[in-house]
Amino acid sequence: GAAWARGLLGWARPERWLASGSLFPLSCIHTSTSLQKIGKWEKKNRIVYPPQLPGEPRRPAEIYHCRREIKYSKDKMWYLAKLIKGMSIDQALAQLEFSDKKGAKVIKEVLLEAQEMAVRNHNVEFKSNLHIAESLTGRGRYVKRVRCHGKGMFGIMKISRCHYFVKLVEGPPPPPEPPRTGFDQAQEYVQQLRNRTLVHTL
Amino acid sequence: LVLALSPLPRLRALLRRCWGRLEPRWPPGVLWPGVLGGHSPPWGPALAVQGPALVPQGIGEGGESPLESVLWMAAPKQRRTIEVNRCRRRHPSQLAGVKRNIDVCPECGNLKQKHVLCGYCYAKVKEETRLIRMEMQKKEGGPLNAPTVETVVLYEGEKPTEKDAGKRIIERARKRPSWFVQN
Repeated sequence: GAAWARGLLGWARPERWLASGSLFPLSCIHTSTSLQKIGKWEKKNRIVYPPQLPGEPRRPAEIYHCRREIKYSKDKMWYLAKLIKGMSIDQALAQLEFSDKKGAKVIKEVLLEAQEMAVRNHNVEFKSNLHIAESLTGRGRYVKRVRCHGKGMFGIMKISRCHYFVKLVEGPPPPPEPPRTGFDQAQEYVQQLRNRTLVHTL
Repeated sequence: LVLALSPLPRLRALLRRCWGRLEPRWPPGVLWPGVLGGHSPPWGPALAVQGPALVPQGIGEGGESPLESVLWMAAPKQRRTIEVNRCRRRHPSQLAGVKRNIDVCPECGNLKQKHVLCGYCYAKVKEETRLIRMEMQKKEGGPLNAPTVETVVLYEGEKPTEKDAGKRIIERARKRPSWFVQN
């Protein structure tokens, strides 16, 4: 809780406010002149955790990367995102290289960029020691256009774009969950029955 | 920064004009074979029968006329819920399958499918073939000048042997690539 809040505040970089040297340090909060809104996924790379204590287990590195306004449908891109969820980065690149879909080329570029970023900026030692923790698609901006039919008829078509988000985490990929058998379901049911108690009694 | 004019007012004007023209032909997309443009739709409360003479009205009292048979078209009755849509879209047959036939090429180390040539090695061979063909074109000097003898490609430092006596010789100014086997 507190570490998370401190981590988020670390993103705001308070040391910058005092380094400006002006009389009113609060006047220089908005130092960026860009009009483009920086998306939430890009900001996730900026969180800085406090240094770990000696006894704590090592926190694996997390790298967030995305590409915006890809000229592809979000539903079609979702199939590729679902394919590579939970794979190691090498396996994901292999699958995407031989996939026939248009979005496969885009996702492969995004993964290679993210791998490069991980090694350069995020202190990852081995570029193969990454796995894909999350891989999502989002809806981009749609544009409506007129599509001409015969006899002067027309329809309105929408030109769809999508975003693609990926989160790489250092370490080998987690083992896949064993499928739920009937025995597990029966065990859960029996456990639910055993958890019942009497309420409003002594 | 480039300011692009919004196409919305022009699109709206276009739509208004198009809808004005389409008004008597509602619903759009349904073709009425007999109706001439501009007249009121056949099911309107008209006293005079405004059907063309070509349509045989009096043929079958039991069967429906061809004009009414067009009304029976398959259409969905209920909206498909998102749960039903998800079951169809996320069914395992629709998902992209994991490919298990990917190997490593022993020559260059790139990935290749088991039943397909390595893309990198093929691109290398294709490039070398293109250069050899360019040399051939320079030697022939025009189309339809292919000689009737065999061709032999020689690289740097190679001399034609007695086997290559009557053949056409193409010189390439580079070292022989490792994959190009010498006869």
